[in-house]
Amino acid sequence: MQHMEFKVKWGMVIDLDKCTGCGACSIACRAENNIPPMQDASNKLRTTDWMNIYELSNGKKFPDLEIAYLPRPCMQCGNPSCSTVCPVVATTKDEEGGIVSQVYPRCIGCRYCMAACPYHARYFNWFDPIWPEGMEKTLTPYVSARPRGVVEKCTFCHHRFNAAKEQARANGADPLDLPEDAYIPACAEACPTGAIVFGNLKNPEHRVAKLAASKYAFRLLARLGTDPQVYYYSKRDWVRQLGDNYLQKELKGGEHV
Amino acid sequence: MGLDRRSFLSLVAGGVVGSLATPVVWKTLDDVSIWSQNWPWIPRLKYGEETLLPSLCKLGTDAYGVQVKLVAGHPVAAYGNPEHPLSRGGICPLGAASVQLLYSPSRVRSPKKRVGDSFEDISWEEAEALLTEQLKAAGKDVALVSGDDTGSAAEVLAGLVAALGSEQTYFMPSEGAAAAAALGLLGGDGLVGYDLEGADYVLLLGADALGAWGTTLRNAKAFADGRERAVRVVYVGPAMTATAAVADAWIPCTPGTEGVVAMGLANMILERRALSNVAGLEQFRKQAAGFSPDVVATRSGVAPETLLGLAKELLVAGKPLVVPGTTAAQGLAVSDAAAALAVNVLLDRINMPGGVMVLPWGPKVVAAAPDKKAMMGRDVVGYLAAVAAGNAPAPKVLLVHAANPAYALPDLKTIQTALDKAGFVVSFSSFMDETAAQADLILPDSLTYERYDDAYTPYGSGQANYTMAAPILKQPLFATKAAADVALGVAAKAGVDLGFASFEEVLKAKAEALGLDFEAAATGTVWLGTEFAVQQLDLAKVQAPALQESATDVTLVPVANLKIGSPKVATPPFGTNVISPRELQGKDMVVAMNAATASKLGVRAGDAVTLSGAGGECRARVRIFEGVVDGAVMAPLGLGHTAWDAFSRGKGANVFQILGTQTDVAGFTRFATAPVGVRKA
Amino acid sequence: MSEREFWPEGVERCDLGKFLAWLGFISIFLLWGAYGAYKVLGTGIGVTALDNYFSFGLWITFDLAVIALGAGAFFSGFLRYIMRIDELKNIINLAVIVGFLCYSGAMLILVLDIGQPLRAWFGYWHPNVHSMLTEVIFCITCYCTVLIIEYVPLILENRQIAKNRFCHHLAHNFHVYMPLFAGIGTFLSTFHQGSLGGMYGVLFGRPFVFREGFFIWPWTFFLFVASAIASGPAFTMLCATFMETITGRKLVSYETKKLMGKIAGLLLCFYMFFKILDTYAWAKGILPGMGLTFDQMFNSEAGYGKGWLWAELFWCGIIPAIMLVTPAVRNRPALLYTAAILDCVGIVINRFVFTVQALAIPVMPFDQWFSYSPNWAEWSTSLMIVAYGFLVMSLSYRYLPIFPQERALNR
Repeated sequence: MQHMEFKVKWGMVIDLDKCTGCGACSIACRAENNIPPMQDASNKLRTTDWMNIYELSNGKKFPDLEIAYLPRPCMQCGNPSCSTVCPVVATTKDEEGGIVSQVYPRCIGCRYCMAACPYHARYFNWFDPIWPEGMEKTLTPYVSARPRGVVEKCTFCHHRFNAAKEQARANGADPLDLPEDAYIPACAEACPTGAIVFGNLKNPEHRVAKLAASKYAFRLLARLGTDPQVYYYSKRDWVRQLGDNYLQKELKGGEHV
Repeated sequence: MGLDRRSFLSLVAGGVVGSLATPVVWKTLDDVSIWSQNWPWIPRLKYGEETLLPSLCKLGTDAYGVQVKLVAGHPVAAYGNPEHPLSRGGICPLGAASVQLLYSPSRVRSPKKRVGDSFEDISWEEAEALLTEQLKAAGKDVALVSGDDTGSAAEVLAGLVAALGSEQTYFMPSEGAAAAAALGLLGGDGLVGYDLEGADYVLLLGADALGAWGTTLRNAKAFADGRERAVRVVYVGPAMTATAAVADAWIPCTPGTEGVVAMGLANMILERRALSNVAGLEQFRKQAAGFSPDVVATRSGVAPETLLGLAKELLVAGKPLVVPGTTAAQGLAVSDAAAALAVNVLLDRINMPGGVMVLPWGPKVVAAAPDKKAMMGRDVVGYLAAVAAGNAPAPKVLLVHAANPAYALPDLKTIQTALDKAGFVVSFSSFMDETAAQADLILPDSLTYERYDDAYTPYGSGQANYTMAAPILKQPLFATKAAADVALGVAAKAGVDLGFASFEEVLKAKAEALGLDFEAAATGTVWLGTEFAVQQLDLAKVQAPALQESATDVTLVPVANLKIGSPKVATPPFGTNVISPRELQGKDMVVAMNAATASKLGVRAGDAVTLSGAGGECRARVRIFEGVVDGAVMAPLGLGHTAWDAFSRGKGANVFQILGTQTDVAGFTRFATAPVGVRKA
Repeated sequence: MSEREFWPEGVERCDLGKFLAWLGFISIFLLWGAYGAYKVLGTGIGVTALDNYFSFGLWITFDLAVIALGAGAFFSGFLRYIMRIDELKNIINLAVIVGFLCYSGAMLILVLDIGQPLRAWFGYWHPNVHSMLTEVIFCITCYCTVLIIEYVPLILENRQIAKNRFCHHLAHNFHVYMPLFAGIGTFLSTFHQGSLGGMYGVLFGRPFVFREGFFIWPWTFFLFVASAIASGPAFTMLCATFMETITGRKLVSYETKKLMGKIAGLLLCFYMFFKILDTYAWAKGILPGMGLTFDQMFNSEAGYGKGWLWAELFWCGIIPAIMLVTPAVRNRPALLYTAAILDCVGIVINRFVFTVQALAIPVMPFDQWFSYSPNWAEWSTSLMIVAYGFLVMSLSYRYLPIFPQERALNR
């Protein structure tokens, strides 16, 4: 598929030196995007967590162990492995802002996109969604409930982007030049330590643009050529090294990420 | 004219071809995408006007402001409140799940009376009459256990109990109480707070400040701001907690020896800094001298050079702050808190910017109620143990408010004996928790979003604060009632005058006492106190932590985790997914220990084990995790519920079952860690 | 009219009772599978053992395997009608039916495997021309239609149906145009066999399957075509032999079987040459470029050890390739059949590892290996398709003259 360049590229920088793995982002995401609750969520290969939190470790013995938590939204890849393979154009990257869309009424549930995504950012609705009696009244008006048989994923709370654009238009401002924090997803908003910073990567005024340019910033599996719009940030070498696969010889000789 | 076969077929064929030429067929086909998206059993979204209303989240030990989004009058999501000093836009996992909790399957939807082994729904009139009758019959043999140590509702309930002539009013255990007791021990008076925002060096002695300790969200914001200012945060504790994971350094220590480390630091500071103007310094110096670097190293596992490094960092820092605490966010030893406080005194950090702040107790408006200081000074664990042992009379009526003692107290078997001995247990729980499930009467409290609520200075706050929340919903979703309103009504019926007709009036009085406009407070204005009472602290009164080696090989380190739940609430429906396989695997709780400990115990990763302690046993699965000190077993608190609903029931084990207690100074009970036996299941 | 009069002329079949008992046995699997299908369609794919890591599993492996093995149809058709290898007329009918069963069976499984079967046709309605899967949807459905067109004249040749003049003429006309359909089938088949490989080869997020290639086609495109035509003829030949074993009658001459074996052997040699080259280039070029090593692609604890690779390349690759091109081996039925079986097993392993192992490998360095094993819902429905194949084949064998040599061989 044609590689599209956008004037606006929404992106995240997640500071892994600040994330405590508390889970607030993931729950806020669940509430915002109407992901149904799960009574038994112990099989993590069957749960739906648009914002999933991994635990990273430097692999050392006590007392030298260090850990880090890595929240994983959809990477909104500049070169998505998923959207190109979808046979029915149910997921695209063709809108200004660079968010990879997911069209539930279009998706046929073939799950090819899930096989394509190395980040496991895509989730399938194995059954119809169920809310405990009455809890469906707490559905937000932003994201329709998905029936079984379709794939879903993080959309950077795309509805908030739409709302921010609308607000900008109403104010007579340029909807493509949103100020910092005019649009942020639920996870970034909820994060107690402010580890998740969100903004326009193409706007040098935005904090994300500055953080993404840091030598401590890195992207997951960037070597595969996915060109993610989600950056991570850590001053710890071992954390950055876990962001991608490296051969032993590449790590020797003080060569860093 | 008949229709022959040929013309019939032509008609059909023509019809088919003709209709294919119209958009009808194609449109219908394309609509498959719409109706296969909207089966009747898939809930439809409701649209409408969107509003944001301020409220409070008191589901954890914290109490902070949130904003609830309503769409056409229905609450749909809770967000952090950027205007609130204890949220600053952040929200905890329980808060994020709080709106959905309104519809939790475990909510008690009407008052219930015990009939044999089950409950019978009754009306509020009947329920209140029943309680009135029981209270009248009980005379002064009434007791209260409340888990709400920031709200005025507890004041109203305690007022009722006190007015009936009883002094048995208790809060559930909290570190705030232990810290205040430590301050009291040194001759101070007030709530203990920490100016994390102002400090430039923070030494956390066990306090999992970014996990579930104190003003968790505000701690997180202060930590994040501190990063920008290069504030160094050092965590001393037995396990790699959430705080340790992101702190600038983690210094492992033997479970329960944070107080020893504090004394060791005090000793080093005293050796390196000439001090005067500190009351009781010489007696304290003698005490501290017993905590030589070698002694501290032996007892706590913190090497002398590490300890010296910490002492030096404290001495060179401009605004250092030492914060005591535990991974369980409760069960702190008063002696440990006092030792940490002493270090702050030596560093001259009391009521200084970036230091330990002593905050006023806050106004009391229900005249009959006991002082908060008195109530916080009483130890519920000790009381219930005495009841169980027959050393204290069992209450004829036990009121349980915003608390779940049948689940969330240490030495649970003893607590259970005490609860069994109580004559008539009344639970004000909003949920069918373990205590409600065995109560004689359940008077379901409305949740904060359905009623008035307030919070005064949750533990840890750097300055006094008061937040009020007006009901967000016009009326409760179910037949529930605010516990304070029930108490006021019952008081009136029992002939007790508490001076107020409704909880709203209580809050009006409270606002007035603080000089705060009620309307403003009810719409989100937060009162902030700027007074810090001058303290005359006497270090001679410090009772240093015991130094003897613990008799046990293995120590249980319970870790509170808001994503799993709190002493008040079990895992909410929206919280199950964030519980990781590092805490729960299938139905098994996961406990962590390092490889050395595991090999000593003869267990391997994934093994099922039985943990034993304090009159109970529980099952767990072993995880090898090098973020735990030798000889310690880290276990998540908040699992193993037996009541509630399918989202939390039967998942893992309740660590309180095996958590033993230790008598502490000032009549308190310490239970932050406890000996544990581990054997293969 | 007795049931015997529906049999092809001049052949013997078992008695009707025995035949019905056989159909009853097959129906057990059909019913079990129908129950599985009912649960899958009625409650959701959650009843299977598939999950968000193993989004593809037994079903996709099954589909890819039967489509590869069903390649005997198009390739035999190509050799018979386009290349004019006349000998193949003795087995071409069987190849067509096996092909038809494989493709229609695969499509039935796909109906279960996609989450929204009602939207299955969206591939035509909203096609993404960049997706290999779109090409697969196009070609498989078109080719299945071709196979139906090829199968219909066989049905029309039933002794009783052929008495109808219209049917007789229709069948004749179909036969006249068969080279055209064979040509179309060859084109469609080559493309979708390739696209199935291409589906994996383009997954640059999956180091195990990603390949570079020629123009828009990754090398797997060509390898899948080659492996399909290397195993399809062997599978068709094995089907004939299997039917002979069950029925106790000679159906295809051994000469024809040897020819099929030879064709498969030559193609397998061709395939293995490039497959080994490809594997080498992948291990030495692509993996290091991604920062990965060959060893990291395997994990025997999770069930995805190197054993699969050696089995695929050596025991079920090189060995049968050598066996099949060796006349002495081909002349001995037991060895010929063994080699053919190894050939087919090797291709099934290939489809399995490309589908399942590719997804089991943790790509993010902090992720871990997971295992997948199919559950009853996947097995029952897959077995249902096998049973469906047995059913249609049994009926075809009993009532249709599909083996031109049968009368002569059993005289």
